[in-house]
This record gives sequence, C-alpha cells and structure tokens, in this order.
Amino acid sequence: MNNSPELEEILNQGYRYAIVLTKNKDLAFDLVQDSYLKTLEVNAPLQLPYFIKVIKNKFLDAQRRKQVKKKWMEKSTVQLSVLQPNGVEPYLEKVINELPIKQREILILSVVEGFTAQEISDLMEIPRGTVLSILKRTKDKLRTQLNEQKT
Amino acid sequence: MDQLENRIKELYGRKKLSDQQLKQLLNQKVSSRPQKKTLQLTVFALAASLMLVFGYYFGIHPEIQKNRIIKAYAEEVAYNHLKESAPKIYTDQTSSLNEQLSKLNFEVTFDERLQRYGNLIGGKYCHIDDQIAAQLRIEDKDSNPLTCYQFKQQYNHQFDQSINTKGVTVHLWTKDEVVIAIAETSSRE
Repeated sequence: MNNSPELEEILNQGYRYAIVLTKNKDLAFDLVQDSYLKTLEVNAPLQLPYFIKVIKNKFLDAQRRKQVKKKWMEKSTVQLSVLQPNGVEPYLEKVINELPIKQREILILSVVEGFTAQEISDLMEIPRGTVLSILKRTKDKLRTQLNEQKT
Repeated sequence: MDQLENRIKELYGRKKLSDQQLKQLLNQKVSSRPQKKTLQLTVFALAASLMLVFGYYFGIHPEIQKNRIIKAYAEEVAYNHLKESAPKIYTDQTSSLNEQLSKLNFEVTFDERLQRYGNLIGGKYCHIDDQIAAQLRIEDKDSNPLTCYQFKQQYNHQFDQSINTKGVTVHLWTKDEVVIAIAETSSRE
C-alpha cells in the first residue's frame, strides 16, 4: 500500500482529473470518492493510471444514467458561477472548460500531470499520433483565444 | 515549457482536495473493506441457507423421499393395471405360481389380507421400478378384475397407504422386504 504522502498525491491527481471531466468541484469529489472505494476492492497499491481509468469509467457510467446525467447537467451550470469568481485565471479556466472533453483530458494529463503521449495513448486507448495532434490543436486553440482576449 | 503550459499547470496545480476531504477519503479505506466483506458473507450465508432448505425439503428429507418413491410405485402399478394384460399362468395356488415364476428373488404370497380382495386367478412376470415383479390376477366376488403386484423393494421403507392415480386406486403396503400393491379401478368404489 502507498504511504500517506504518495497516496494523497494520487488522490489529488485523481481529483484534478475529475474536475476536468465534471467541471464541478463537488461532483469531482463525489467521483473521486466513488472511484477510490472501487479501487479498495483490489488488494494492491493504488497506481495513478489505474485510478484515472476507474474515475473515467465511473464518470461514463454516471453519464449513461439519464437521471444522473440530468443532475450533472444542472449542477454543471452552477459551477460556472461558483468556480469562475474564485479562480486564479477565470478566463483561462472558462476557455478550457469549453473545450471538448477529450481535448480537456489530454491537455490536463499531459501538461498538469506529466503523462507522456504514449501513456495517454495507453490510458485512453487511442493512437499516440492522435494524442499528439489533439494536444497540438488544443494548445493552438487556447493560444488563439487567449490572444484574442488580450486584444 | 511555454507560458501557456505554465499558466495551465499553475491553475490546475492549485486544485487540491481539502484536508477534510482527504481525511474522509482515507478513512473510507478502513471502513469500506469490512463492509464489503460482511455484505458478501451475508449474501453467501443466505444463499447457502436457501439451498439447504430447498435441498432438505425437495430431495434430502427422508419422509419426502419415501413419499415420492411410493407415488412412483403407485403410478407404475396403475399404468400396468390399465393395460389389462392377461395372466400367463392360470392357477389359484401360490405354490404353483412360485414354482413357475422361479426367477423371482422372493416368494409370492396370497395371505389373508389379499384373500379379502377376492380369489387368485393366475399370474405372470412383470417389472416395477426396474425390478422383476409378480403380477397376480384376482377376481372379487362380483368377478371384477383386480391386479396385485409384488416385488422386492430397493429401499428399506415400511408403509401402508392408498393412492388414487390415473383413475385407479392403488393400495400399497410392505411385508418384510416385499412391496405388495393392489390396483382396482376407482369407479368400483
């Protein structure tokens, strides 16, 4: 089992990934909580790639359920008014939140969590080349939008 | 790392679980496993109990098993009785029957209880419960035919009862290891 600082870091990384998916802090925590419970069923030290996969699957399961999806949609409209005023970079966060989910995931896993293109490719089960091209397109799009905002 | 990446990293790097949330998650580790195991054990115990109850009452319980066997005897006897096959040996003497039905692994009897049903007319071999058996033809005082079956049972059950099946009343009882069954059409009663 991981020692406490390592485990806490993995939980935080999972939480950040959950925020990317849900765009809402409360939903992100719920998602991390459910996912962490799921990982406890496996009697092995918690590894980040596995944790990320569990979070993603839990998120997709929740989305498939119409009721939960509806709730999530309602809550996710709230998050814009909750998260934005407290954010360090409200515009940057807004722009990222408006990206398609796959672009958000790849961007954050690569830039924030330091996953390589190959690791993202394995995790998301898409070709490495696709990961790299999505990452490049996403960054270009962000740069353009941020530059437009400046002018 | 360019400026954009630094800004993204800084923005998301600040997003962390609160101490309260971390504590909540780490405490789950302690409580969740026993709960899950307890649930699994409870489900297993319930399933095992149900299987035992069903097994006991529908297969293992000796009395139920015995009744099932008696019912099977009665059904086979009734079926044979309805075929109304004629005896191959005509005699009113059990000694003669025993002599001619020499393959039987028991002695054919026509005791007082059987005599109350009528007179012995004859008999032949037949099979009940995959066992070689004797089929005796009896006629009551009104010349109505009755069929008596005698065979050595595979089990050590003792019983004496009547069963109605397929329009036939079958009286079955045991005498030592031998099952004796009398079949008569129910309309006569």
